[in-house]
Amino acid sequence: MTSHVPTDQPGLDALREDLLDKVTRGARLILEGAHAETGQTPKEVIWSRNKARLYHYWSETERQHRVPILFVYALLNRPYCLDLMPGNSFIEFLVDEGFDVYLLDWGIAGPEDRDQSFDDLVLDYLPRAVRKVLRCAGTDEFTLFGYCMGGSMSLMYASLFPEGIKNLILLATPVDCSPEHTGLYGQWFAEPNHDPRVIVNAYGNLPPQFAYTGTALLNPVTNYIGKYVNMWEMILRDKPMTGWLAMSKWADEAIPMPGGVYKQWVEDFYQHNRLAKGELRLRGRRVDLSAITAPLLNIAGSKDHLVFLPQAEAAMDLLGSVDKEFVELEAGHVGLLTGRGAKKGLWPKVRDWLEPRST
Amino acid sequence: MVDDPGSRRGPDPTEPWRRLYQATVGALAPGDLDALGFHRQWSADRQGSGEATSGNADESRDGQVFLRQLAGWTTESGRRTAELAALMARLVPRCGELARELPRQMLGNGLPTDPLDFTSRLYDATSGPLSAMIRDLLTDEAFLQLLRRLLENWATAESLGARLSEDVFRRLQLATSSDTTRVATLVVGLDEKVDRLEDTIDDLDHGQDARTRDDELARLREQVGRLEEKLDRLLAAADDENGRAEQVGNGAGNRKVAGR
Repeated sequence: MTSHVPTDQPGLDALREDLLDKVTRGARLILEGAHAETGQTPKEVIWSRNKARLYHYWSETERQHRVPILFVYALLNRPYCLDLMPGNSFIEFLVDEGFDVYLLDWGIAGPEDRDQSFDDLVLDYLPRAVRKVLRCAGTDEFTLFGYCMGGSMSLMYASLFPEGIKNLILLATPVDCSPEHTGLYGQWFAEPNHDPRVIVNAYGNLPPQFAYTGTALLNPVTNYIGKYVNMWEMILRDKPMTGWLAMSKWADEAIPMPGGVYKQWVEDFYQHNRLAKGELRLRGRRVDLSAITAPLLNIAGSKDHLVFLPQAEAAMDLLGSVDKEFVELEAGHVGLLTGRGAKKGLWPKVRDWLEPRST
Repeated sequence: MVDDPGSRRGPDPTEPWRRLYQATVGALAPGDLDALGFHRQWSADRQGSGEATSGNADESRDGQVFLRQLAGWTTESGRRTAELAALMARLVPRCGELARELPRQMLGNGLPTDPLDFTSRLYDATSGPLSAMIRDLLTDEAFLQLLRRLLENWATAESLGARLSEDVFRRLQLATSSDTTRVATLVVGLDEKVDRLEDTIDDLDHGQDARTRDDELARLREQVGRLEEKLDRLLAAADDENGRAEQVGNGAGNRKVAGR
């Protein structure tokens, strides 16, 4: 808001116009949602299957590291928070640092994907994507980088197909989902409070509005009110809001989760904690985390409401890796990846850890 | 008048649901929808509250037993309402905390200078206690149970609505969402087969010696040949079927003409 209030009529008219324009902008953002150009680092699709797409990112910078990085994203939101916008993109940063970067985007599940499960994604899709990355990069080793649920899938994959994995990086990855570590999510997903089959039988997939509401309710005042208080402040005080627009667009763009995956996620992870107990089986094959011996960088946020520190830290004891490091950053689930904190925290940490291990 | 033993029985509590189901979607193929879902939940809740009677089927048909069950359910509903009221009462101290905090934070640095300043201060003053209050609510077991029942009822109603619209569209001979899903499933299946084929070809192109490659190619040719034969047989069968259908159609037309 302008501090100087004009007294002449044209000045007052201009002020009124300006205020009306700002109020209209704010109202449109609330009603229509944020629009922003996201995911702009140049890329090409090098493989696709069903809705899944494997992207290979380009850069003017010459490739300086032999070992490519494959990002495995979660199934709850779109993956462009890894490549939010120019200057605020983790992928852009890595590409500019000379890394060869690939991203596996699972796409948006349709009603025909209701039976899709971790078994399909980890045993069929991931091995195929990995082969494609290795062929494209012309190497026989790669760095597997999993974020959130993508980290859990990376662990399942690494346990069953350890060959070729040069490094493993886990970011905000739930591993030990015993009730004392899982907070509100754990309580909501507990057996007496939630039966995932009710949703799967009624809708097929987990509807995006359920996924969005579930996540937003972990911090309801900030997500439903604080977000708009910040928005009005930025609009009325003429502050730059491109970052807010991009983040808001990403946060509002929840996607449906395949019914089979949702059922496994709730039952096998939150209700029975099968991954940490070594009881998880994919098509009869046991996921044994101690079989993973690749160097491990495990990162979690101390302000994360979705994945708590002990949940992620459990990987340190369960994996068979000798070279392993746990890093706690002062950030939330998404703040780990983007923004000023990420530029000073996560990005350089990953680069410094990977550089000597990517030759 | 015949003395029907059934006429002495008490009302069957599942009967209204059964009738509703039969009147609406009873004719549809069996699926995930539970016709007695609402009743079952009600009944399960009743059993959960320790009010259940023995599982004797004859006894449950008795009118007096039904009345006792009804009384039990009413008591259970009352208990739940009381639980919720207690939960709300537990939130009262939080409201008091909010009322105390509000003027202190709002007026701590003098009066707000503009509406935005006022809103920001209001948010800062209320967000903490409000978050705590909502967290208390969201972690309360009674509230979570209520939420679970709401979700289950909502999901059942959604299923019912989806089934009804499917039936209406099918009767109108319009494509339904399950038809589209079936086609999409076929496309996905085809996509996966193509991907596997591409993977095999990729394998041939990368890192295999000439002999293995030739063997693989021969095997692949054989597979494609078999696939073509199957397709030919399938097309021939489809042609035969069309031919027969046309003959039947023509025959029916002839009969109509002859009957005039």
